[in-house]
Amino acid sequence: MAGTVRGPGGSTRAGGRPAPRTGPGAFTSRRPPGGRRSGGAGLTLAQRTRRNRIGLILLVTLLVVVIGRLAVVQGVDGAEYANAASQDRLRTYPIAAIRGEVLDREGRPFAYTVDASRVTADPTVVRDPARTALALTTVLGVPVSELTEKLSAEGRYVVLATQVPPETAEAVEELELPGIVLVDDPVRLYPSGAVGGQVVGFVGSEGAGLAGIEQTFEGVLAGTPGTRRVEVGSGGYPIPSRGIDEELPATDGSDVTLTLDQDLQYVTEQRLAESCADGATTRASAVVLDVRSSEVVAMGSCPGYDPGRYSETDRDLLGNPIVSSVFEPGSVLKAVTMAAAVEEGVATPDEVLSVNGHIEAGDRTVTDAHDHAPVDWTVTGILAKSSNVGTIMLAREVGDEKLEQYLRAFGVGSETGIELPGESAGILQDSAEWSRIRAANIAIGQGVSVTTLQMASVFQAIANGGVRVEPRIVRSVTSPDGQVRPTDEPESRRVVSEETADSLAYMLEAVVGPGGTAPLGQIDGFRVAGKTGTAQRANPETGRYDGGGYVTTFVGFAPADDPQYVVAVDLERPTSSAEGGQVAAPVFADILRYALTADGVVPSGTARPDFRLTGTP
Amino acid sequence: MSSRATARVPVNPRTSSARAVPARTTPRAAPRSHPRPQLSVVAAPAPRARRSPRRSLRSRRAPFVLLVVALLAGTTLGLLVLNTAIAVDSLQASRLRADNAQRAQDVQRLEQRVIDGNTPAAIAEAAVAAGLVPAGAAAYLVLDPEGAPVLRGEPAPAEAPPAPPAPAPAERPAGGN
Repeated sequence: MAGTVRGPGGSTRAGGRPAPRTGPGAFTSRRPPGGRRSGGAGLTLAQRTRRNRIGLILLVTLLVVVIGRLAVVQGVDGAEYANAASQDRLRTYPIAAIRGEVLDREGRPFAYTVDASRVTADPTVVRDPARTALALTTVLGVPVSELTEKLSAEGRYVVLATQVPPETAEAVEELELPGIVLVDDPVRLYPSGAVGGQVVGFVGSEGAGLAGIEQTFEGVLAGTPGTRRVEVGSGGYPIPSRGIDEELPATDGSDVTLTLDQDLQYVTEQRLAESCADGATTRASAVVLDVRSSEVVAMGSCPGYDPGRYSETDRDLLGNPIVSSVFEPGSVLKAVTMAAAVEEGVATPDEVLSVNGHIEAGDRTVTDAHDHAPVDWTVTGILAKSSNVGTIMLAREVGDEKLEQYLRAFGVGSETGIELPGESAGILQDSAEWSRIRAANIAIGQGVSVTTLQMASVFQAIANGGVRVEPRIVRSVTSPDGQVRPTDEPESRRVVSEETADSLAYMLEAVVGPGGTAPLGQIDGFRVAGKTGTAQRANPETGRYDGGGYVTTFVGFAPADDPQYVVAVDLERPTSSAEGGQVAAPVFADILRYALTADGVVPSGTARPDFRLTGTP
Repeated sequence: MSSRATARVPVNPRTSSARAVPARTTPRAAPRSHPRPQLSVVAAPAPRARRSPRRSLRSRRAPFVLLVVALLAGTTLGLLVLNTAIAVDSLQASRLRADNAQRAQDVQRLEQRVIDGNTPAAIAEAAVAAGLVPAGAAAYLVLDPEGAPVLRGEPAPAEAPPAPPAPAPAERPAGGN
């Protein structure tokens, strides 16, 4: 302030204070008070008032218009405009719910889901399709031409790649390409491949379960997807910190724990695959049930399929034949006829009958596997030798209606209610409609159709002291917060008395013993009970038995004195006439041996009783 | 400064005023109705008398100015430090977030490896590679009521593997154990 430069005349002042006025001569140009520069100087008072009024009215009108418009924009249409604006800026992305896992009884996953992304693009925002495609081609592994074509397509949404792993997704994000958006696209993995594949099923490209547990438990596994609304800036990028970013979190799906044991499942499928490779077997199925709980411990069939590659598999194989395909069980069903005979007091295991080699049934004759002269067999012997004639004789004493009742009580002809899709009830005609030949055939397991699971279920009832428990394959459902909800107790019902069940176990043990039809069903150290079956298979082309080959079955349980596991095996052999005791029994024995050993079942050490198969009446 | 001081009219009593506003020296400013006063040369007043008020003024302002400057500098520096700290923190946060995401991915990948390695097929393969064979039926030693061990089942050696794979010495990296 002190340094203000002065002019030579020293007429300016130092400091901010005005110099005292020394006279009127200093500022001569001052206009008189009230004077105006404008041209209104000449107006009269009235004119001026009018002009003021007009001006005022004009101003007020303008203001009113502006305020009115403001009120309309803000108050009346406000929400609409704000909405339209935010619609332009807001993008809604789905947050995929992580699908629940499918686990075996020990918690080892059959199916689980991992994070992955889908790379999508909005072609209207993409600036340079060719360059964008070039940048993405190596990262995504999609040809440039394909990417360029998609990026220059019409519309606002194209999918460039699906199920991209997180590393790749990150690399795409780092490229910061305008118009490229990443969306959740979880991948369903089946680590054990074909093992348990038919039970677990698969998830279609739309993310919904299309087979097996994935289908029946779709609602439990799927969870509820969430949404994320983000405000995007130019270029379609989400505005990082200050923009709207609302999330409605997804609710993940619950885990489903099966009763299957992955190891036993593997061994079962491996053994079946071995059978399928013998040249004569076109299909082999097996199911292992826990005797007490009727839980399915293993359930497999060959040819099976890998759920992870369902799209490359023949569509006809994408089912679960153990529950959905039916066959005539043959002699295996004689166990039910015997149970009916013993329970009804028609026969005892040691009762001796004179059995001929053939028996008249209506206008036809049913023979034993090999026709023979009349033999004196005990009822045990009839079962051990699998005599058709002896069984039909006993069935006639039981009566059609009673036999049907027993068959139905053992679960033949009705669904087991297992938690798997496409279950077949099998075929069992009403006894009122049975012809004489049909009645004879049903007693020996022809003219009636069952699934492998139903077959196993029949023997579960016998092994469980006469109490049939409906088979189940799902143990519990675990919600994402860790709550375990066990599935409902399966229905259990006594079908025969414990004494009858014990008698049957004794008789069935004779089948595997000396003189029985299936010595190959034996397991070292354990007492095994079971029944063979060799049923004519209807030729699928003609619908008749000619040329259909055989379905060989073996169903049984062990240890016979304290049953733990039931195993049912059936092999479809259209070109071979080998009997169940020869081909199905070894498969049964191998699977059951592993089940018993792996479970640490200790043999009772009791010796097998001496069976009386023949006798004198 | 000194040249300016010489031009001042010494007789004006305002010269020594606290504001140090110099009087006008132009002839126009002088009232004309009075006769011109007789001028005589007088000794210049001691410079100390005029400078000291300025000096004291400046020395009195200095702390205030310094304070303001210090405050300004302080706040600027403080802001800078705070901003830097925030920036560093947010940088660290985003790096940690990225690390976290990376770890989550690692965990997922490792879990996937565990799951893949734990499948029956993988275990069976590894067992075969290690020369193991599937066990046959097991036998058990059970204590009877008297406490004597009883053998249940028939112990039998597991079947030998069909054909042991030929040793492949070059398969393992040197030094690996």
